Amino acid sequence: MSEDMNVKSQFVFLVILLLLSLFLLGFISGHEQTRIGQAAYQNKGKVIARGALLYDANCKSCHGIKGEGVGQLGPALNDKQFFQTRITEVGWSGTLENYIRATIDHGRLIGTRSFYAGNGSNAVMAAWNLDYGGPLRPDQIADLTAFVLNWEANAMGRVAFENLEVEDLFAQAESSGEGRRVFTQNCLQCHSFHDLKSEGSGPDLSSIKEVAATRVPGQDAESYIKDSVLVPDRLVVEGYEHGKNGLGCGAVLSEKDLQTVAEFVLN
Amino acid sequence: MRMFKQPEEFYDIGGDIRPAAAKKGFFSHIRPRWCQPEAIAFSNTYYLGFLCVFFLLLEFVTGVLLMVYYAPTPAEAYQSVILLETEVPFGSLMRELHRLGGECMVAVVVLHMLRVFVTDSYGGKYSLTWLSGVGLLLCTLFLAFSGYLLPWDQLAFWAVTIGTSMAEKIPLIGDTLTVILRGGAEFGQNGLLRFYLLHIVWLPAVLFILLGIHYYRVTRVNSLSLPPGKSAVKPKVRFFPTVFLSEINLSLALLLVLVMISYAGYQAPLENHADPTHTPLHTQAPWFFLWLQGTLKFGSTFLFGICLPASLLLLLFVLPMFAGKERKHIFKRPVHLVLTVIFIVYLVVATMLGTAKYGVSLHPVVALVQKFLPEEMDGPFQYAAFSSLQQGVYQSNKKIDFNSLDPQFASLVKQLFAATADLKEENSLAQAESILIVEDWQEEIKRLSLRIHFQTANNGEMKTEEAVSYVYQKDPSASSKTGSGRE
Repeated sequence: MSEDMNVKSQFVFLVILLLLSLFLLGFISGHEQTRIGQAAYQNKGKVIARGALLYDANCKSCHGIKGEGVGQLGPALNDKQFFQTRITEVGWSGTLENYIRATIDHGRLIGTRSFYAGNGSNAVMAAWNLDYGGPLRPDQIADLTAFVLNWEANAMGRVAFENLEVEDLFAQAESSGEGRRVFTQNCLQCHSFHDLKSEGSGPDLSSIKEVAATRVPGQDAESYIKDSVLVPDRLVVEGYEHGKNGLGCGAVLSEKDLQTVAEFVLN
Repeated sequence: MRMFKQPEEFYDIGGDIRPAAAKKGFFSHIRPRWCQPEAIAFSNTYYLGFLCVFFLLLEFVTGVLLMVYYAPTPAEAYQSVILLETEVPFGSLMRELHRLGGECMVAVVVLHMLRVFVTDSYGGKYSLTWLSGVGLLLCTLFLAFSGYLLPWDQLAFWAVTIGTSMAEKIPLIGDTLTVILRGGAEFGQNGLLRFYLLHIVWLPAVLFILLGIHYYRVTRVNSLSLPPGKSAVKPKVRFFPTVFLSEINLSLALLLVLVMISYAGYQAPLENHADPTHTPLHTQAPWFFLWLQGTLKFGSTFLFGICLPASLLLLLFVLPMFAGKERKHIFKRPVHLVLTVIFIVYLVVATMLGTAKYGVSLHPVVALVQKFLPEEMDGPFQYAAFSSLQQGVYQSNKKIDFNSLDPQFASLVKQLFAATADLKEENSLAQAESILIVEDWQEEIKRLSLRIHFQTANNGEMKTEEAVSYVYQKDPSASSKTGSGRE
């Protein structure tokens, strides 16, 4: 093939390629908005899923595994009142998202609700942002915020899930060794329990098994023990009122340790 | 009739006849007016030099566009990549083309050097061309390495952290050099900015200078080398429009293919945000550096991670000194042929050794948990349809009515149970049981917990390995749209 013929065929090829390029550009342009929408949607899901893992690792011991709140430790977040009236209640001028983010960033030095002031202490929530001495990066706090906000549909009753009982499967096998350790580290300062003798002013718990189930009508023994740790003001045994023999229970336990110690003192 | 008339005025430099107009313009000057058909035939060059330039230009154009959105700070870098993917029209395409183009560029630069070596085009008058080519290879590899850090995800952070840790092993200056590279004891704001500036300013600047020398040597001084044993023939082919048009066509065709590959499913990887406090279970170098990761398994990091690559580099630089007076194809140079084969075998074996398969082996139970619920990227359950993940407890030692489950989910659970049975058999465990719990957690979020109970010997301690993961709805068309969380 002569050079001129070659050039002519190259021109034809160029025209075909340009037409193909135009077609491909049109095709991609037509789908780009859909792709962006899908990518943004998936990214939001990914952000919430990452936030869920962070919540699981850092927040559930105070706010409950499903945001239901834990006694006097932390308020419920999966809660209608939280989504409807919380920012008005505290006079927050920004959005709920800003409020959650700011709270996680800075913590709460002074409680806004006395019930959550926590055993005579005003320091109710630590700062979580790395900049303020916490363990989380700003992007992680954004993930956590997205996860907390995603409870809205549940809190407002728009979706409801069937509860799956998995506690028995996932509870660590209770051993007296583990229960003894948790008791010694967290309770022995105030309470005696059989051979574990305390010099503290709290009641001796050696016979708690016999009385726990009957202290509060309608409440079982395990629930009573947990409540006594989490909401110590709810029922104070006569002779142990605050100010007389010291403060209420000051132990701050993880969910797992609370379960372990409850089983330990009851078994 | 000829379509393009020859210019009337010419001048002669070193036997290369050029139009007088070439004196006036840089590009007219640097490009040859004529090419030998044999010198540009695909069977002789495989267009590898052209491909290097094509991918370089692709990287340049897509890189400049990515720079518009990229923010080189640890707090913003990852988010700016997310922004590209989720808000910028064609942002994802640009990122994928940049990544794909970068990988192709490394491959074609290496292949181009191999072709030049095979055709004995590195000695004598080709020496400077070869040396500038070695410099271009180095620039390409450092560009790939520095660019790898920029997304600031776990993959990038740890691969580059481990890569730079090799420098620690250099006697006397190792620690200082590592601190200079990372901008501190570990990568942070300073290190990211250093790598960013290397990637967008210093390395491209050096590369374009070297490319200018290389290109000038190839087109002006060496007059596009002919293969060994071939001599110049007539008629020559005009550069413009014949060669120029074919190069434009080839570029356009390649671009179309790359766009189609990107659109067909190629994804530039992006793991979770970089976390200096959490080392991932597997850290793997990009495929073009796996040979180096594999080489480290042969022995000391200093010997195999520093000395060996440095020796190879030195060998490339001094290679022109060992070139014969007469150019010969590699099949007529048995020593070179054997060395080349040994080198290629070494690259392949070292690359294989660098893969995760030959990496630090995980405990088999951990490996099983990671297979189904990996801590980075998505696992099989994340790829399954969200609606197929039915809430419930699934235990390998209890009977399950698989017919009541979605076939896709049932298949995954069966795979998990089969893997648990294999785990027990292959590792001679006394007991192994897997429990998978799927819970509806939030709107469009499900929680997956996988727990493996195992006992290594009868009457031994019962041990447990557990992982938790959250799965999200990926299909917006299947969204329940009851809440405002995802909107």
